[in-house]
Amino acid sequence: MANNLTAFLSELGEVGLLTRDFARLFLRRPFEPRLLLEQLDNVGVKSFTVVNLTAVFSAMVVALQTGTLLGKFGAKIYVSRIIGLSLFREMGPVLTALMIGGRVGAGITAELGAMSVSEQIDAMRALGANPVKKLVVPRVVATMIMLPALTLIADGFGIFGGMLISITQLGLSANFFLSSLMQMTRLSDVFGGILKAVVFGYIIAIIACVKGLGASGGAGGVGSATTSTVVATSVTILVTDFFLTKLLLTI
Amino acid sequence: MNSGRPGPPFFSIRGLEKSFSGKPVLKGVTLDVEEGETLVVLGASGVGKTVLLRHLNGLLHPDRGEVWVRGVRLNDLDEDRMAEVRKNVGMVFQLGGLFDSLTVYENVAFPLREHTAWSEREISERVNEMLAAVELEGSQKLYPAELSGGMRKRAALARTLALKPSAVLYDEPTAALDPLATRKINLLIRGLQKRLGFTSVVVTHDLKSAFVVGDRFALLDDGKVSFLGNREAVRRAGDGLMREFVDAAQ
Repeated sequence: MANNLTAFLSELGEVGLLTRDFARLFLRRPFEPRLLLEQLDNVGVKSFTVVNLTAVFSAMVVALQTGTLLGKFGAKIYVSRIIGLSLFREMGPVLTALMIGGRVGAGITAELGAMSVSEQIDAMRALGANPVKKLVVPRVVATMIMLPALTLIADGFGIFGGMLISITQLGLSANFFLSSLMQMTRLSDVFGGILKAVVFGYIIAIIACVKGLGASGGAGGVGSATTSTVVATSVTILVTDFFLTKLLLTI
Repeated sequence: MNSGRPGPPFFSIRGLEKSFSGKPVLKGVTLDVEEGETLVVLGASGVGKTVLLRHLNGLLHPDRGEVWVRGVRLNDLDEDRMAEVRKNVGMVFQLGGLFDSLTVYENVAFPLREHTAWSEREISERVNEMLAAVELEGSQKLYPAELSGGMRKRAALARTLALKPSAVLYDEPTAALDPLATRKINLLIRGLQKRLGFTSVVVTHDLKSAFVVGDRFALLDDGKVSFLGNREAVRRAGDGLMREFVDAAQ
């Protein structure tokens, strides 16, 4: 127990130190647009399918479950409002973040971990280059940009999935579904979800980088670090989501 | 090598101590490396040779003691100012440390792109010059995974020399190489050192290689330097670990 607490606090300290270095180097010239573009492609474009499939099917399940339940009380007409609110505020940012944490976070840790154990990170430092500037900054920035973008697109796909079920299974019309959705959805719901996605993006990338740069002990060490990233990002996203939701509901 | 009155040492290590997880590895190493010489640090595996080497370019920070490079005290430097020192003190890693996502050409060009504002033509000329110096012409487009162990070490050497540093640190340059590749690397290290005149520190447990490349020899034992001398002094070593090293090599 004491060892786990020490390890947790030590990793928290490393996240703090890397955050400090990230903030210090984020705006330092030269900017490296090529490295950022590579990461934008890796984080965003390559995650497009998996994120949107998750959004579509999750929203379809919500539509089926809530529609069936609400139908018993003659309240099916509220399905679109429930789907809209749950997608924009929670499911969109959280599910997208969990998928990106699994796909991109694990990938970042595996890549940086392999570089660490094969002396590539040390070689970079020995050549007078800063690994935080070269490796961490592009990955963190790209994840903070692409996670909100993917969340917005996933929201759209989720709405489409929910609407499909509402029309085919619940007997609602597309017009009714969309107008009801528009009436109940406030811009602050969408922005709240986007804000969450930016924070989640930072959490995923910084944890993945800390675990990757700290990997040691060959292939086994890289494997443990990668697993640990998926667990740590998932738990941190869910815990942070609670506090962000509480904060957003009060303002 | 050091004819006439010696100038100030290139590297100066004073009372260096370093522990990992409470286990002391270096227990007060004091050592000078003169300008232009090749010092070989010998010792059994796990005795702390690499730990010592990594203090000379600031990859590790001392728990106690001081490390000076040409009059600059590394203990006081942050990562940014350390980068300036590292431009002048190259390092060849035991595993090569080549970036596996880049070709050999891009690996050698990396420090040039990082620290110079050269045109692509100038970069290309320097990369080709360095690859020719390590006998790797024609390997520009290969990735590190496509190279043999010896070729990887030579490509890493070319990358280290691209900025023409004043000193080069070698971490077990012949580890895991076959005898022919070992011979080639040793002759290359010696030849380049003679031709370019840089200061070298070579860490190895292989005395045969040490005799090919070295001017002076330090033996690390139990966290301290237990022997320091030239080739003749090594041969004449009486009792002790250095004698055992010499006997084992023969």
